Amino acid sequence: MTQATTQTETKAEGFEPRIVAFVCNWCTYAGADLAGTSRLQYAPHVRIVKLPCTGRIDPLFILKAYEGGADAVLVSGCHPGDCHYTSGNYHARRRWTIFRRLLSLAGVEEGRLFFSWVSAAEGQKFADLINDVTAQVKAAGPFKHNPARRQAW
Amino acid sequence: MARIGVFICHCGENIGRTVDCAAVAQESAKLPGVVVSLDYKYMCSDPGQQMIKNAIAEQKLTGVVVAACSPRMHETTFRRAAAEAGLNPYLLEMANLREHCSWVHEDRPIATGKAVDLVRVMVEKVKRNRALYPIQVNVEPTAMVVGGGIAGIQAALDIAAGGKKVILVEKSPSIGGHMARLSETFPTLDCSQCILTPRMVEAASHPNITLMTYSEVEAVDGFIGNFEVTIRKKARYVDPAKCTGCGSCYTKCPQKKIPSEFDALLGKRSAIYTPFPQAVPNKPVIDAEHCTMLTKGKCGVCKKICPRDAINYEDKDELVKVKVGAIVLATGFELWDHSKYGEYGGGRLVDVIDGFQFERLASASGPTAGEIRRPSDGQVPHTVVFIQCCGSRDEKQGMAYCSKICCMYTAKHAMLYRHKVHDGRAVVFYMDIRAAGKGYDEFTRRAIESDGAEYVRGRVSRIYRRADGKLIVRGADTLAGRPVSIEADLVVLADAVVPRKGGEKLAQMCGVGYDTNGFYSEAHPKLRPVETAAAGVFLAGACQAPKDIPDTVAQASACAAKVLGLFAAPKLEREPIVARVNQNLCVHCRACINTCPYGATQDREIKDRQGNVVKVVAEVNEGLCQGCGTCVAICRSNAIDLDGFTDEQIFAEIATLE
Amino acid sequence: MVANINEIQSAAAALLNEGKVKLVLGYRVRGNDRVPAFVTQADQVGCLAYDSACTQNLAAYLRKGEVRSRMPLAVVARPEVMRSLMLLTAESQIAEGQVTVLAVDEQGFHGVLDLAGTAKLLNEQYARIAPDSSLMEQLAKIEAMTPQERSAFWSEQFEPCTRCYACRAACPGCFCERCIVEMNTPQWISTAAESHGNFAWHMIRAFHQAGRCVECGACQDACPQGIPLMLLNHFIAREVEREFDARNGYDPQAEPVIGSWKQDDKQEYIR
Repeated sequence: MTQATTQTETKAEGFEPRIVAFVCNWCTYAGADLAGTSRLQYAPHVRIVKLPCTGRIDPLFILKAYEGGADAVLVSGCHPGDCHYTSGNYHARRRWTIFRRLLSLAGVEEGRLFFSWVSAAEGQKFADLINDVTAQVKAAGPFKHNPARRQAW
Repeated sequence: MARIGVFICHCGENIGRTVDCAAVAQESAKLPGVVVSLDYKYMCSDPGQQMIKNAIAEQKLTGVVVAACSPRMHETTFRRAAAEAGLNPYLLEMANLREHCSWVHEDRPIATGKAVDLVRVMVEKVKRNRALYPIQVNVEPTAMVVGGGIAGIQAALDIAAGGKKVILVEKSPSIGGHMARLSETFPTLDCSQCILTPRMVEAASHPNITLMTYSEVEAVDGFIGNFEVTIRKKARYVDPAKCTGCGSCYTKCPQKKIPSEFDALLGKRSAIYTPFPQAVPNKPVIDAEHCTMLTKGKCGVCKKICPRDAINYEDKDELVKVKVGAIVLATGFELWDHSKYGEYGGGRLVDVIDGFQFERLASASGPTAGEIRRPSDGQVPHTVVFIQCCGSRDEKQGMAYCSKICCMYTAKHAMLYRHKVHDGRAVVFYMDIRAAGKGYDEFTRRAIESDGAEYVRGRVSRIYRRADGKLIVRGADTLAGRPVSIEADLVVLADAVVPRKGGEKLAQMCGVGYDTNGFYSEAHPKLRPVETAAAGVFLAGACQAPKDIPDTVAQASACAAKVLGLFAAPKLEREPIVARVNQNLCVHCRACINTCPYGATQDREIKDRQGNVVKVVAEVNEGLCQGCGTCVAICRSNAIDLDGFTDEQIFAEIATLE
Repeated sequence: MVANINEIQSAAAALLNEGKVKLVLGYRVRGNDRVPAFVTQADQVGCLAYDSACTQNLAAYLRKGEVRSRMPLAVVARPEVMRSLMLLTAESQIAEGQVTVLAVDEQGFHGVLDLAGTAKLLNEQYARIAPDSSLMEQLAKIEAMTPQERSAFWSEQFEPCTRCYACRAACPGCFCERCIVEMNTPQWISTAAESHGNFAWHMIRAFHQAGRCVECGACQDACPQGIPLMLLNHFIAREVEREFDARNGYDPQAEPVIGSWKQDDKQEYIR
């Protein structure tokens, strides 16, 4: 997977994307741990910000990541029905549904915002997800038309 | 000024092989606020921990980042070490260099670069951590058990044996539940009443158990350790303090034709009644619906006959408030209504009965004194057909799940019938025989091999009554691959086990979830099978899922262990990761109150010195909050924040990643 | 002016005379403008006016202490304003008995209602307020653009924003004690009138209206720079209805759309 990822690097020579991931503690963070204990190799560009629950994720976090120049944002938590807090992910899902549509209308292109459910048992899914997201962002190149980006003075 | 210590663990070769730990330590030392940055082979070892402790003391650290394995692995270890060195444990954070970096990347420079990032982020976070202290919650060491069947009785007895008080609430006039109605029990065929009634008596006489029969839970407020429960004591019209249980009243009561619920409507009872002779408490109640004194003001026989003047026609429902620290829900089950199956007579054929009716026919204390006689004409049936999976494993008309107990009790029914009617024929229609359990498969084999029950694998497609009174049972024998038609005198349907009607209301009161079938949801299907999403509320018996008696008793005892564990200390300590409302910013739009999965966000009236309400705001109940932070993100005013994951901390983490 | 303006005036006078309200919030004419009228005496009702130019959403005044201290009060309300009152009820900002409605639309005055009566009228008479067709056309055009074009379009629209927050002041739904944009610990949204701060502000302002905006248009009318805020508002209202089958401001007991959930909410974008 990792090799495949590096081969898709076409758009910008030597482009190493910056991807910020907001994940919940109980499922996706644990899924990432499992990817580790299973020694699954994946692309190294994603930086995780751990929250207790996807319900904690405010759209402001996503905007802030874009503002700081993230090439993509990934949000991941427990599958529906698996939330450690029973319904945080359902609340989060509603917020995302609207916010991602709004961002799209405002010009944030496809492939700059990813959502996934990754359970604590899905180490492989986590690794595949990271590789796939990284490959897509690499292929798309730097997020040049990022409307949220802080401009240099 | 922040004084942060960074400790990089090699984890032997686990991290060190792919991450240049010394380089990470060097880079970390340059970060603003970092006053000490060290790497070591095994940070979790005693010398490793000692290194952290010494640095905390010598360098007067205000925060610590341990860059090692996953916090799920050793956060507790390192936080304890920090606390031992006098640093508040919540001023320590971990950067996950092993699971999230060294184990998943091979390129050493890249992995090292990522490791530096992970440390940077955590250094910025920990600078914004504040000291947190475990939340202490008072615990009222009394439990309430809802439901007086075998689950509730067992849970109550075990809690009481542990020295704690129990209030056992039962909605019918007697405890005992369904088990009291059974004739014999599988797989040993011992008499149900013989093993149950001593427990019922023990529960009633135990000094730590308060029985509240003929009572229902009306409201539940509060939270773990501190529930306030309102219980409705229904009007009994008989003063239990005066009544001796002599029985004159129900012997003389002129209303004797009321179908007995206990006898599954096959027997009759009077309007003033005890459900069965061994009832506990053995004191009658008046059924207000059928008593002519209460409905029409005519009669009064029981009052005249009562030697103790215990009858009071003016009795009213009474609401009682109790304070309890834990709640056990043991509300049990009922049988699915087979009248939905038109092909089985739609409930109109009187000789097509359910499992409980057969239990009562087989019971020595039942309406036929233990003789198997069919309801229509009281004749002994010569052919009985038993149909398993009636409503179970039927997604279309019934329930999708397996009711678990029917294979066993149908085998028992067939056996009991053959023991009582030696020349009778017992035919069992089944889909599969699911007899997993100690001695269970042997039991079903015995029914077939020793007791001559004829097992036919297949579904029954139709039952109808022929003019001569015979029930014609048509079905398929799928093993032989041919249709079968049996002339039966009695048909017993193994109706699906379903939760009690109206159980959702109780679940909502307690904050307990339930599935689409209405069974109460446990907190985790494997690892927390007796807890619920509501802290301090536990589940025992068939209210959670279909269960037989041994499983029910085991779960009830597990509940008791959980309750006694909770009551072991006078105060409960909770992780201080909770939400807090800034009441100056809150405009009381109630979005958070609507959102909280635990009902932890609540209205709070702010009053002036005169006691006038100046404004209403949201407030988080620390006892209930589980720290998910959903309310925080929902709040447009950012008037709520979550300790441990504050906006400032997360903002700093994101900003560090620029 | 609507035909039966004197009926509004006499209804207002009656409410004040009978002591049922302490204040009538309405409109009056000032030159070519329509401005709010705060009538506290029955003999002042003659200034009350209503016509289609009265676009300000008077429900926005209900968060102000000076107005709240004069409750119970009456508000001259067209259907969108009535919907704002439903939202404010659902979000516990006002309660039955505090606000009386003088219901109006372009045809004229339709009587004095309590909040329950207002809910009934809204659902019976105004259940479907067709969105402005030019708005839908513009939106369709934007949606047909490439992401880069959309980004450029909005950056051009947001560029003149001076962050005066007139949009916020005009909106009855913006009743926060302190707006998120004014929080500085941490400062999520830059307050400087430059591209990223403007973008974040307009995104969050619009998002905070999800499931709440009644599309009265007051924010856009108030904007001195002519930023097409209604495009964002209408877009979000449309998405909320499509995704969650919810229409804002019709049910005074409604659960918040963002803040409730259904198990089968769509999630085709989540892998």
